[in-house]
Amino acid sequence: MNKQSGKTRRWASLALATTGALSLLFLAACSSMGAASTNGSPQASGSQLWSQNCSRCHNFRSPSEFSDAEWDMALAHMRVRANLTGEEYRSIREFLEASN
Amino acid sequence: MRNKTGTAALLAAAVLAAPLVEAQDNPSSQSSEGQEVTGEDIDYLQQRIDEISALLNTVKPGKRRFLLTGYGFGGFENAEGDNSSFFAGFNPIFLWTPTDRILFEAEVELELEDSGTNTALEYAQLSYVLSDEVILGVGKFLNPANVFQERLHPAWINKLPDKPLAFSSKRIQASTQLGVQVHGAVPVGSTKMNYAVYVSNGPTLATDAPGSFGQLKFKDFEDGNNSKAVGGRIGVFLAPELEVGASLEETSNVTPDASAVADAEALIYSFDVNYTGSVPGGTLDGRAQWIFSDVDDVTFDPSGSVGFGPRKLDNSRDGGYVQVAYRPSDSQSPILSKLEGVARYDSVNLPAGAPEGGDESRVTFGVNFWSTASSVFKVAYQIDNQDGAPDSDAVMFEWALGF
Repeated sequence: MNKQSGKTRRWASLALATTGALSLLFLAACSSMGAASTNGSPQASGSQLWSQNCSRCHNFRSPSEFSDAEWDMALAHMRVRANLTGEEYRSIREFLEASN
Repeated sequence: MRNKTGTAALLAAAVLAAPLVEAQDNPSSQSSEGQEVTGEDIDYLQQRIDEISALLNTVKPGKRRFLLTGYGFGGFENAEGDNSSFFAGFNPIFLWTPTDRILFEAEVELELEDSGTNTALEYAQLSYVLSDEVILGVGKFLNPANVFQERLHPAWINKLPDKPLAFSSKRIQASTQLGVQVHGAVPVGSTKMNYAVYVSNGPTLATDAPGSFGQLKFKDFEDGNNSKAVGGRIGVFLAPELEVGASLEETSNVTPDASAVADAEALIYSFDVNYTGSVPGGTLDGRAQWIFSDVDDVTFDPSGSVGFGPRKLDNSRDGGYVQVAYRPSDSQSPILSKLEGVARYDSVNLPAGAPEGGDESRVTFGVNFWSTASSVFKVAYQIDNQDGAPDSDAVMFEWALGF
């Protein structure tokens, strides 16, 4: 395959990726019009957000496993790693402080 | 929060300790019950409190917010065609948050390899929270385009003892990036979307090694040219339990400046689906990620001076994995509720004539026992299928602990 056909294939790949990304946005929009979800919404409690976001990757640990100060840092780490919104971060932090 | 706790502890200790010290140092006060408290008594008490406060200040936690966390693991692998061997590793993670907006995080990988200890800086990233939805990161960071590597690779999280081929022995997507990224999450209606955009050194094309030409090398710590990789990922939660994502990375030239091989553009894109939710009797965890790597078809060793050329590849690769795990966590049995069954299919397809061999696919079955939320003992059997090479079925054990 020559370089020109490689370019063609590359643009086709880009188009595919763009289509995929737009499809995801469309699906998200459809999803948001459907049944109520708790993820990231104001009504989602700190405990819900904590269990949902933790369990997406690993088992969630007991709030008593770390001190408040340790949770502060672990949660800052998870905010970056799990892409928590600021609102989710604050809700989970309040929940952990209250539970610890 | 910590200061409040520290102050409370300090006062409690002082109040509790003062009478004891007073009783020890000033026996006359033992019979002072009912007597009038003089200014001299108060001065003495204040002096003792000051002394105890000073003493406690030498041992109480400082104002620096630092946490050591991480994971460790050890195990055994017996694969056909290789000597069986034990293995072990230790990955400490250092977290430092000088303010609520700044986080420094670094992971060091210490792993036994051959006759020595392999030490690597897995990541070292400085993050600044610009707003509720935007975080700026600089340094060496886990590749946000690679969900497995960014979120699931630690041994105590990965549900099998080894990693999928596309992220290990036949890697086609970077595990980390060295550069700068902007990432975060944005509420979208009643759900949310997360995103990441980055610029990094990007991969380098192997051009002169007879055993690896055509491969992308991702440890580009000193960039081989001035062309940077630009990439990103979008993930959308269709429900709290279900996330779908797509990523794209483009590097206009991956050929090192010093090479005689022509400039080549590389495009890597991937799709992922992640589900974790409750199902009858327990919890279901489903993952899928597939990566496509496309590099310009250039001629390697064009003059034949290296000794293996001229060679040309249709340099497209793809690979990934699909994994399902079920844990009967609702079971009344204390043993059964801690068991988890796992099945994974992973595969990498290589271009014809690739020097590293042919396509490879594997099916792996495993059973895990979770003694605690972060301690898992894994047993797995792997069925391997390689083109042009003997299959290498394997039995693996691993115990991993997150801390």
